[in-house]
Amino acid sequence: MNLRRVWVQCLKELVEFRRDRLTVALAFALPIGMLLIFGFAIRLQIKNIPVAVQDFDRSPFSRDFISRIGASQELVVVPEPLGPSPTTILDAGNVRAVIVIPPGTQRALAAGRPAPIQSLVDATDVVNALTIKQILTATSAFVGATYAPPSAPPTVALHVRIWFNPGGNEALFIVPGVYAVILAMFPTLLAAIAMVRDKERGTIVQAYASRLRASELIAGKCVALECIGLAEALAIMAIGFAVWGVRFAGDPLPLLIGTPLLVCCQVLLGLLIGARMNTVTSAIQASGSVNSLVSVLLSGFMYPVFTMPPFFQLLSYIVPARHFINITRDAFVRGAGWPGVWTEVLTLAVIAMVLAVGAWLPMRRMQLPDEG
Amino acid sequence: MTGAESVDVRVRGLTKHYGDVEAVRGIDFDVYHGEIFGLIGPDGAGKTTTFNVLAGILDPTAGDVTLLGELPRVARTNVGYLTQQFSLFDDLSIDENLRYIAGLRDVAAEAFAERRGRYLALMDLAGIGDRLASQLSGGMKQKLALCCALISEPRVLLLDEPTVGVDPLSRREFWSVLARLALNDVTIVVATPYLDEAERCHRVALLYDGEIRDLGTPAELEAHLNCRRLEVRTADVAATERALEAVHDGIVDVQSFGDRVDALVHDATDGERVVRAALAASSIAVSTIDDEAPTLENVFVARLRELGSGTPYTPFPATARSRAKDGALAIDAHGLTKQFGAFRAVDNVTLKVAYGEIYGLLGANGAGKTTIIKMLCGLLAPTSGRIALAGRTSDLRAASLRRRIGYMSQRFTLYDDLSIIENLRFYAGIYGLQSSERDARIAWVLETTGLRGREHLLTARLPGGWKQRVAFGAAVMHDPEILFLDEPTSGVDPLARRQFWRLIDERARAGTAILITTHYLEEAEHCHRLCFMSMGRMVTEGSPTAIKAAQPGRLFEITTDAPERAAAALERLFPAWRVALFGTRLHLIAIENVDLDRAADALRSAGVNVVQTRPLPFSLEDAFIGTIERQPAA
Repeated sequence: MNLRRVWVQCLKELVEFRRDRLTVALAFALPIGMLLIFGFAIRLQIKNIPVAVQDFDRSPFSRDFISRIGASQELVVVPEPLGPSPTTILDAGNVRAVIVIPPGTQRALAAGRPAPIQSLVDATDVVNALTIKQILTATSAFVGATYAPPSAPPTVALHVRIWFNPGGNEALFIVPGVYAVILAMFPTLLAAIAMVRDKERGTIVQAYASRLRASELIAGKCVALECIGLAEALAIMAIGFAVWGVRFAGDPLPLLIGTPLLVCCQVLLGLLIGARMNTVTSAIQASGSVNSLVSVLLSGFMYPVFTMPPFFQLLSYIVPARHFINITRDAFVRGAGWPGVWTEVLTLAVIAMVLAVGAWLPMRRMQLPDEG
Repeated sequence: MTGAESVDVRVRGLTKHYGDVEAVRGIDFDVYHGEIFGLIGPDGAGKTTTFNVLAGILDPTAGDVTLLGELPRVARTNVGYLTQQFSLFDDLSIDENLRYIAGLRDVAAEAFAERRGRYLALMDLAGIGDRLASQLSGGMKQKLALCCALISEPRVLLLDEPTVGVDPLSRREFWSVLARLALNDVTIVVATPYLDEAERCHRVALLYDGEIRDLGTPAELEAHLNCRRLEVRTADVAATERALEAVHDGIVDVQSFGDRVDALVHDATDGERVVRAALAASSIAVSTIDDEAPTLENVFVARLRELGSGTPYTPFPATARSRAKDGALAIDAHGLTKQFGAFRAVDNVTLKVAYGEIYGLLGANGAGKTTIIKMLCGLLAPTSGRIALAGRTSDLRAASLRRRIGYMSQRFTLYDDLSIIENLRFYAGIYGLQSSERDARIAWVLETTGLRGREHLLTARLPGGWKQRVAFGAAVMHDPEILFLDEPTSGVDPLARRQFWRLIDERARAGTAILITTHYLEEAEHCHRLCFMSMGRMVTEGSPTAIKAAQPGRLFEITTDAPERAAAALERLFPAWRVALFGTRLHLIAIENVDLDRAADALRSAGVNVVQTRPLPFSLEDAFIGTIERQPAA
């Protein structure tokens, strides 16, 4: 590989990129817009669900129980008169659940007897219902254990969700994920355009007719787009810090290595798509649909990977964004550093190598296709 | 031609198949060192395939090809390739384009700086190095592309139709540069659809259907034809053409131009007798009959006719309809001006076209021709001036008016993803053709384009020249009274161009007013009247004969034993537009009587022997270039 030719190719791509307002907008305006929309608008977590409590016990236990439910960010307790039946309250539609604490609950607990608390949950929205159920189970187990005699079998509190994010700041969960989705989408798109545009305009023939090798062509384009991708990464991460205060939670090194690797993977994927397509339109469509399917749905950005059927879990291992999402979430939220993510960084490197070969194969002959 | 012994490009039995399609079937030729070798042939003859193989970017199916004694892929460093499409990067400046190509071809930095200066000066592009390629005119783009191809100082240049869409002035300059390069030991292989350009090659190969049908110097090819060309001038060109076409014995080929008819005959004396007899029988008075050498175009058309190419002429299935009388004005534009920001694209143009008239708009790229057409058919509002179209002065986009107008724009107007028949049905639909008319007209388009039986082919699969023919068919299908044709024949081969012009002539005789733009000045001879435009202004207007007659000075053809040296000597003496090299012959425009003597002296002191000097009639191209060059610069 002749480095001077790689440099020449890289320089040409950068100048072309800078001149074309549309691609500059595509590289910066769109990702930033996407970051703001996802960062502000998307909320996976449920907050402030109104629940009604009918307290027939009026004991220290019941008061403790109610205040603990209200203390969680998810539920808001609406006091309810004891008269109407729970179903009537639910039918009115103002609350999503009704909790009934029967008289003598604290006494039963203290005596080590089972103390049933009845709750009626509106399951129109299944996700809501599951959240409410989970919170109630956990809270009752925890409060129940406090009031039960020490001899009683221990109750396990399952409430682990807020472990790494004690403030319940959801931006901390969403925004690092958006970083991964943006850096998966746009460098791919730009790379696909950069590759296919030369083919569509016929200017690629100049490269074919010179001594430029396929590896040099791909390396040149790859370096140029890597620079653009890293500038993009810097821009969105700076905005993430400025707007949501997303900052490093631990060792930044895995992210500093992982980001260039991810951008490299995505650029090579784009070049591969560009090498296989013949028009800019088809390349944009292909890279757009591949990324919205794979990088959004299979990366674990919205739906946790471990909840997927085994086949899709397996498939997700070849998605670069899936690995990168673990790196960003570690860098900005968990802060565990290398022990947690070294496999992810390594996997990205392997994927990059495979994609490089994939992009090189269709171009390797540096000749016109044989179908005329 | 120096060192004619050494062969730079050797092609033996070159064959290329794409699937079942045989694009090239076993061709042989040699190109000598320092030679300009022309490849001519109709669309789809295999020219571009041959170039791609020579450039090493396409593997041949069979055959041996060597450049400079090496395989094409190995020889790439010493070969420059200018592809058919503009091979520039629009978003890069002139300098950046050059630097990129130089980088790809491993040109050292010092060498680059020196060559950049030298070639940009040669192409008149110096001083605008930071202008973007997208802002250059077609002619400048091609000159820059040639600079890019030259930056690595290749020993062999491959040029695939480098001058398509380039105006005549830039084309002539481009060819002067080529002649100079050949003189400096660069071997050039060039394809062109312009046969007047092919006359400037040292040798020419006629490619047809993947095979070489004729090869030799232009003079040899013209001699192979064994014919003379009679230029017949009469009062009624149309009647003359019909009368001569009826003669089957003694006349090989007839073609009408705007103000004359060319008859190709085997023997000048016998031929003239036959022509005079035929015209006398139709009681047509003859003004003059001039005996001229056949042109390469005659060779091309005659050879292709022998090979059974070309489609039969089918008259247009017109339905009787009331028409404005001949002589009434179809287009009447007065003081037309169009301003784009600070740029005045069209400046105070007044133009009148009668029904039955063919009016030509000629000018360099960017002279304002397309803008005029767009204003006349109501697509663009003029900044000032008034337009009467078919008698209407307002609301030029009214549906009733649009139905009477046909417009074929420069760019393909067909839908690539529709089949040919679907495209035609679509256009028949939007022009509101009756179903009875529709089928006859569509059948006519398929017949004239030679696409009957292939009407279900996807339009995207057609070669450019064929698409152009279908687009023309679509534009005239509704039998418009006024027809606007914007470079309809660009990139179309000579045989197909002839057919275009027969159709255009026929529509004009049927009373259609036709406004046409073209870069082919020899076909502009078909126009009844034409105007030359320069920088948005009308410079000259008149019939082709009148315009040529109004040229100052006389044109001489000088044959010498050292043409390039002779050209260099004369270019030192006269401005470049007055000297042109056509193959081995020189054209010189003598304005003063002493010019010819001064030229003779200059040639003698340069040590050049003059073989023959003879006067030639001005061609329209000479007139065009002279007129434009005499304009004061902006």
